[in-house]
Amino acid sequence: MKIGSLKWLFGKNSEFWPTNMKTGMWAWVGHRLTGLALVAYVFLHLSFLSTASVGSGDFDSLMEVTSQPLFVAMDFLLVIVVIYHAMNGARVIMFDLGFGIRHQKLVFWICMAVAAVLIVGGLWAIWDLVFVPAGGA
Amino acid sequence: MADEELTIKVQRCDPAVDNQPYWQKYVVKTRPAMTVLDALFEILNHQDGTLSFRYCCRAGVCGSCAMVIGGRIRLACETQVNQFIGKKELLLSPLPHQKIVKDLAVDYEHFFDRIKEVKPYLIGKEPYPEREYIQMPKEREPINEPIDCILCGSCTSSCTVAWTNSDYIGPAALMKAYRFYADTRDIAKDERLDVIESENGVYRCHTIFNCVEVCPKKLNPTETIQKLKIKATKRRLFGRKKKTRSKS
Amino acid sequence: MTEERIATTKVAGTWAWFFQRLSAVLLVILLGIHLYVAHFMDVGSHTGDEALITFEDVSIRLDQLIYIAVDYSMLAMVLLHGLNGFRTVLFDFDMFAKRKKVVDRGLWVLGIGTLLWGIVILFPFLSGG
Repeated sequence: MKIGSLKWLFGKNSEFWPTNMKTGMWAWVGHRLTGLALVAYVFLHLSFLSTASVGSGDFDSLMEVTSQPLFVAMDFLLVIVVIYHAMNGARVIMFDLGFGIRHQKLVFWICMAVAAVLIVGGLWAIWDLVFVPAGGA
Repeated sequence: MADEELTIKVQRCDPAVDNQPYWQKYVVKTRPAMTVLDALFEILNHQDGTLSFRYCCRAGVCGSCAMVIGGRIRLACETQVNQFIGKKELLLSPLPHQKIVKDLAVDYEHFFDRIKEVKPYLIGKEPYPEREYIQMPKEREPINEPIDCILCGSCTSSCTVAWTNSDYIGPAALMKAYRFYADTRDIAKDERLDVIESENGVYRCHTIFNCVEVCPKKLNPTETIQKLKIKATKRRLFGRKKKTRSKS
Repeated sequence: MTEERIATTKVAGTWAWFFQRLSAVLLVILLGIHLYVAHFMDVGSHTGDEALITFEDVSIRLDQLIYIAVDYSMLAMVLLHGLNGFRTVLFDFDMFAKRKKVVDRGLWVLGIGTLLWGIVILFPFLSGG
């Protein structure tokens, strides 16, 4: 593909232009990006765990490194990504079972509302777990 | 209200001459109840005779004039120009991800190839009856909607997956498959499911709903694709039915 | 112009699609258990009150067969769902859809290889505790 043709494929009149993208398209793009990110995360997670096969000291020190604010912030991001992917997945499974296809926009926003509640709850749970004991100790 | 001017930008490309498409600007005086197709005729007749576009019935029945109008695929003959008058400019471009024949006319060959893939004809029970097959109004209910498809190509063009995977048979063809699958007079159910349950059939649909958004007839291809997915899965899980058409 | 026919493959995509949905539902349940077990549950070690996950914690937990089963089935489900999803992404593009067999084999090798790697990862926790 020539670089010049990208202008026509993703230009102002294409379905990829942000103001032209509709609910289902946003949901799909988000689902795909979060999905790919999560696959990458799984392998990262496994490689972190595999440090234990080198020695238990390495594992513990790595766990201490990962409880630093930068990694905790990334954990927050992970929670958001997982919950979005799960709730949008619930929406997709609903459509697969044949419910709510005619009201897909409403279904999307209901799922996102549930996701928002879950994200707030999830962050609250992590907050307690990470900051309170660390501050107390 | 009348005689207001509208700037129309048309994506033009003559593959024989141009390497890349380019925008050309036209200013059209609008009339009340003027459609985009009328505006294109205004340009063709009074400003630029080299502009190409496809049209036929001018009444939203033939599906020839589907194009991207202001960022959304619509039929030019059914879209009023009035709604764009406040805007800076109106962008017109051909159906996306299709081979351009010239300017706003695109090549439908690949689209119809995909339609042919699903056997878009009734396979009736032999021996064929002397007169028509009898069908009750209730039996026609499931196909009342998909039968209205005018094959304008809007859905398949707007589908992102149909663009990146040219083997995906696309929403229009899958809706056509459902239209015959759901028909009570059709007996080749298994044959139809065999075609649509391949990787390039229903499972390339990720419920993006672009096809539903753009359909000028307000049909719902996604729903029919989802119904076909359920049918295909049920057949896999619980085994296929014994009744098959004898191969001839 | 050569006439290009659409190549609809004879292999059905139904199972891939069905297991993607099934593993998704199982994953949500397993993920809940996994998170609870890894971060919130008190396994009874002296380090259990702290937020940090330590080698000892994990070793004590993995002495019980049920937690090995949870962790390992989690890995299996994640791989099934993740790689199957990745396969879906790849098949959306012509260049991979035309090389279906190569992609399928590559992903199987990657998946089974990672499952074996999972045993290697678990092993020090089992022997160390």
